[in-house]
Amino acid sequence: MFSNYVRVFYRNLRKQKVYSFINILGLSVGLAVFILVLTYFNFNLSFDSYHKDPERIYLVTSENGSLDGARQRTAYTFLPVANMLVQKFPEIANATVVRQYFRNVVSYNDKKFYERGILFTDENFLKIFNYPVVAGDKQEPLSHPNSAVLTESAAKRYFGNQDPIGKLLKADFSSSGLIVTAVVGDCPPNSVNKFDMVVSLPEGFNNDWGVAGSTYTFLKLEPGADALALESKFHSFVDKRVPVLRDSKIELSLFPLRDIHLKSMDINSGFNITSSMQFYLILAIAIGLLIVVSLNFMILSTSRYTNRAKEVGIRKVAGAARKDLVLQYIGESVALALMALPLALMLFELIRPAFIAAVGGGVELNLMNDPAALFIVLAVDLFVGFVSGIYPAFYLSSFQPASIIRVAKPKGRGLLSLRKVLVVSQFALTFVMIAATLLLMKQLSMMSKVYLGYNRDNIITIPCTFEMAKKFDVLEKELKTNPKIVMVAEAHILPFSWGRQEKMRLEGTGKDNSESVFSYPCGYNFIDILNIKMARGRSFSRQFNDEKSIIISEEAAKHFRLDNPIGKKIILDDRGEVRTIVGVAENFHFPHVVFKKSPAVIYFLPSQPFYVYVKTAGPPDDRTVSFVRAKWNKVAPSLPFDYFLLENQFQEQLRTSTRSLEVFEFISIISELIAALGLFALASFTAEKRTKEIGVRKALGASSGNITYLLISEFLLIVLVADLIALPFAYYLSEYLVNIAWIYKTDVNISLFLITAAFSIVAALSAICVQAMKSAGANPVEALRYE
Amino acid sequence: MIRTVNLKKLYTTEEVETTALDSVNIDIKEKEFVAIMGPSGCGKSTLLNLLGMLDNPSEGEYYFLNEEVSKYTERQRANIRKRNIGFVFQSFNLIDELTVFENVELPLLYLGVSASERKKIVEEVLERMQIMHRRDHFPQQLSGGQQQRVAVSRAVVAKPALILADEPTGNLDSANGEEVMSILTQLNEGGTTIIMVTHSPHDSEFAHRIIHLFDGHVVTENYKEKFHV
Repeated sequence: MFSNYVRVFYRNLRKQKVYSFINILGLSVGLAVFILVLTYFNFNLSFDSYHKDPERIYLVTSENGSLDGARQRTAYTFLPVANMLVQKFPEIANATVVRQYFRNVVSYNDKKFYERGILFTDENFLKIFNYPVVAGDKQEPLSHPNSAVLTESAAKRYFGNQDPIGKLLKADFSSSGLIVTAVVGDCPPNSVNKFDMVVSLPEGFNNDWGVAGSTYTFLKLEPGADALALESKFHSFVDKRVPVLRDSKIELSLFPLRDIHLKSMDINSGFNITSSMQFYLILAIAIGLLIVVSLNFMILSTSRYTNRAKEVGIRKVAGAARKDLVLQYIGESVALALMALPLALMLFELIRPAFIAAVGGGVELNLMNDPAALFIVLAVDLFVGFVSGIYPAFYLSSFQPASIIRVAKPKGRGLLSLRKVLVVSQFALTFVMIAATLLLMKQLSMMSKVYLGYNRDNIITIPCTFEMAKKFDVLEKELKTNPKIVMVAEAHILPFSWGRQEKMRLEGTGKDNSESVFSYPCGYNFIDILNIKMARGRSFSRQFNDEKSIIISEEAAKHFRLDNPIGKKIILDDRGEVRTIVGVAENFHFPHVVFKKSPAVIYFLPSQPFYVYVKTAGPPDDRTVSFVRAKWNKVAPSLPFDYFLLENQFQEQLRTSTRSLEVFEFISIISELIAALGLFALASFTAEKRTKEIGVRKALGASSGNITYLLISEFLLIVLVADLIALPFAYYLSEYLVNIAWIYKTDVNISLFLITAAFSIVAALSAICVQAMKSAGANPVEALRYE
Repeated sequence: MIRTVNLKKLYTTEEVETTALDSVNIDIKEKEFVAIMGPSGCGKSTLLNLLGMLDNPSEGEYYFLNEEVSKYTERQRANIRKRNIGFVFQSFNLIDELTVFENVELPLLYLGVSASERKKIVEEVLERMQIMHRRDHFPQQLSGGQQQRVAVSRAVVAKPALILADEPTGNLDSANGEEVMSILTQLNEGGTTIIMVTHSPHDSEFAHRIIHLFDGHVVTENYKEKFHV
């Protein structure tokens, strides 16, 4: 019996090559994209799972009030916190601190690099985190000062094929240099805190309360320890024993290591994190695509089955019981779905590199290493096959054999209406998906152009280290000899990054009133080069001594409740300084456009530049860049010259933070194409069913145009009904999307939905036009004879 | 073998109710060859479908081998059908995707006959029907007469006690038609009961008895002398 089923299945497949191909291809594409998203999903969920007992590792976060009243949580703590906690609480098995410097120059002989991934830490780091030592000291490679542990890639970069162990690296932060004590494997891509080099903290550093900045504290709890219970003890401990934290009103809490990647968007940190909202959006749209693909599969399957009603009748007459037929047809559907699987795997391999590029790289997507994903994909495939087969199987097998055999062409009305329902659902779903995609594109476009209170145009940005502070005046003078260069500035930050958060208060108020404020240190010309407008007072200038000056935003002035801020003094508690307000800047939005706008201050600190900004008249050309490079190499030969354009970097960062949305667009378009394929199949099926009607109409004088209209209008109606049904859902989803995620919101208006409707109509028309014209152009005699 | 009591069949659509058969009382004995005749639309095929249990009557009783089957479910009917009845249709009704061998094999598959046994039986029948040389061809590759021989082979392969034939020569030329009628006659002579719907007075000559239907009623029954039970 089984071989009989297989033969019939195979011969039908061959007989209906086009349908079978479209059906298998559609499902394969859907499954391939689903596999991509699933492996991407699992990759994102797998962050830091490679450590030993990762669920026992926690980050200590600090939380305190900020000027605008909101509690602000950061991933940074003070260096001594790790030791204090591990000594006090027996639940903590081990603790480590990690400081990350922003940028350092490290060299070996003539090889010199900016290192952005150096972690300063203690010997516990390699005990808590799992980075296997592949060469050198396997026990305690960080136990001595100035020891450096390199990743394999970093070791290769400096030493090529030489043995790196025992070699001395020069570094701008260490007068005695760094001795390479060990080499570890490269950080897996699913790490929140990647590094190229780990360097031992200087001795005694662990007791230094003065160093907050970018210090992370990680704890590894004892097996079975309750993190919540432990956290609840922190408060009284800090109150009694840690006056520094108590006075700053800082509360410590624990954050699971495994949650950092996806759930710490609101925590100020330098970790490799992803917006879980975007991440779930992608998963949602992939599921949407899967539903569209499954509907498509069902539509095509039911079309195929209707042509087989006669076979059902004959089989029944020959003695087949209903269950035999149900089994046969469900089996065929499942087999067809299974055929899509190898093709889906091939497509997955094919589009994987493009997908990885679209999500910004640094992603490892491997289905074969992911048995759970493999199982889900197989289950989904079987499910689609089963569900697609179930209705036609039960429907067809319910016919009285007499009615099927006597009427050569079965009516198949039930299947046709089912198909219409399926097509309406499919188009309604794609309408919602396309509308959401257009909305997100509009939102992105709006965010890339929105005015944030400063200007980024024509600014060449060159990263540097503090060494530049001594050379800046000379560099500025040299660069200004070129008339194309309008202005040169020293900057501590890029204007679209998290700033520092510093505790500050108005002079005359107690330390209790100190609040955390985003603060941006800068050098000369920073405010002017970004064209930040002053509402009152002045910007920093060489004409004044601004070493003790500060500029606050209008928002900050409002929060400080200052009607007339100029001349008032602000105490910067973390720095132990008092600064005078010399200007109030019109509101500017410095954290990236996707983050919320907060009150901010800019203070003058020319000794610590991380960037030099060079503003040109008009877009910078190659000659200007070469000029800047030549001057840079002349003035600061010890600093590598590397540059980018500020605006490009802004757009790049926007793209990076919203890169998942490109995947969203891609999936929506695929969905629309597959929905159109389903419509194409339905149109062919209907044209076939109506061959006789078309023949009669033509014999009675209908023109090809009349017939084309007849066929097209029916389908356009289906699509319009689908669009109307989808409209309220699309509207509410759009409102929801705009409101949950963004600070700057694009407006949800009717044009969005009109474009979406136009899109679905064009897709539908292109799918059915060919078939309609083909049927309409046929000779009526052929149509009548056919019947 | 077959007895119907006041058999009635109504076809109901949304607006119209059509009586296809009304008060049909017939009695058919084993080894009989019965022809059912009448003008188009008189209910011949409907009667055949009811007798073949392809459909249930709207009213009345139907005794098949002394069993009242008119209220049987599709599953029960299928079970009786596959063991006792073979069908031959005017339009052959072969499955296009199956070869000659596979089409003929079908009833045996549903009876659960083993593969080796099936092969033996099917080849025997194909030999008898002189269609063995076409065993691996598909229906579209055969002439009408050959297709009908395949259909008859399929009808007899499970050795049913009853063969129901609906205009078996309707789509055939006279030579092929003659051949099919002679096969049916031989089967009847071998002990198989045959009920045949036909328009053709010539074909009806092969039967022992002719039942005439008109507007869903049995109007006359003509016995021929050569058949005596």
